[in-house]
Amino acid sequence: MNIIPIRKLLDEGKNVMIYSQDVNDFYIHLKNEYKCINLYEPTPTKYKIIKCLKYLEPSEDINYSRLNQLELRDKVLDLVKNNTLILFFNHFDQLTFKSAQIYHSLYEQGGVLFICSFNSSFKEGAYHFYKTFTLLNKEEYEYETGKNEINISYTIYGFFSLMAFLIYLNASNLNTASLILGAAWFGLIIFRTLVYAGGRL
Amino acid sequence: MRYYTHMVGALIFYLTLNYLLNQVLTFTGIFLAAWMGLFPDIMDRLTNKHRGLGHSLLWLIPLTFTSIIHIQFSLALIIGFLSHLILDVFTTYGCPLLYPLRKFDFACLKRKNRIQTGTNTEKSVFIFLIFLLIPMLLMGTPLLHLIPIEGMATVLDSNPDHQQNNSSKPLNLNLNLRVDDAQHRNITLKQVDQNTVQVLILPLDEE
Repeated sequence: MNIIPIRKLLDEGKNVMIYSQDVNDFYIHLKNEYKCINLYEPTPTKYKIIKCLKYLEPSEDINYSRLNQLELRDKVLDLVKNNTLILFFNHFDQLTFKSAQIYHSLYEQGGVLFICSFNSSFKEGAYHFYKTFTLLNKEEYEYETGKNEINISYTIYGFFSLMAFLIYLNASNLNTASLILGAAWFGLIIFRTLVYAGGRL
Repeated sequence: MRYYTHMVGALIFYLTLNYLLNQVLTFTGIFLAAWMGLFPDIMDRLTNKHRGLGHSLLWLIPLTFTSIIHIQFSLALIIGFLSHLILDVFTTYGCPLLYPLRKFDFACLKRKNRIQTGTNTEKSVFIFLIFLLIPMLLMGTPLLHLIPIEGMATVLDSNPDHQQNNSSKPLNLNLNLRVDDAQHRNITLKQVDQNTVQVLILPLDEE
């Protein structure tokens, strides 16, 4: 686990995204250096923001549950002020449009940074917030998910079909017309079987 | 994929192309194709990067140059090498065919349908290929003659090559006769669309 690039990104004021890893491992290493809160999961948003407030203002007599999410957000921003608060959570993919907006505004107003992880595709509404992150293990993500690969299924299907066509031509003893027709039919059957077995793209 | 699947795959591809091109099947050719089926993994072991340089199509350039030495063996090497890449394209992470020019992988099928190395799916593919290879080897090589089972002649007769020999169709032959003063006379028999057969005719007194 390499903490150095994370420290560098945090010092530059950038959010950090990690693919398919538990952010708790990073939290353990960074909690003594920065003001950190591990939320584990991003939802329910209101409960998580209250958790932040209780960390920033640890007095038991304040009841935050009467406030709405925007009021809670403003309260967090007031308490953070010029300091840096780092929020950790896994399952970035659980974010809805509304919860992503709340967290995004926390980042945009300044003072709050995020270290998150995800392991499946997330909702479209969270994409705007995702753009503020720097993906740390991009190569691993692309390798695991195949985002950067080129699918040559139809080329391979075509190649095997052509092979089947030629084998049929070579093995047959029929007259030319029926031979070519049969070979084309055989080749297409192989192509169709491969499309069926491999799935349409 | 594991080495054994690649070896069997390379043999199947080699036997198929050998059949299509009407080439003479040699033990050396079979050995070279099977060995070349493992070549990309050996290269990657040496360079210490799996699915790296060894799995690149760039290897086709030096392999093509081997055709200067022996075209049939070169064909075996190329087929063995390509068979490895074709089989690896079916695996979960695909194959970097243009490495190191482009580092992205080329893959086939939907991701969930691909073959994961070392799993039961790969083993089932291996068994399927073995069942495909056995009849190909029996039909393509003289191995069938070694099996002492009655009725094998019938199986042999069902082979199209044997049928052609036994059929009543007239054979188209080009006869090139070269008669010279030497004692031995060479006659070249060339059946249309078939291999050339050299026949050496000796004078009666030498027989």
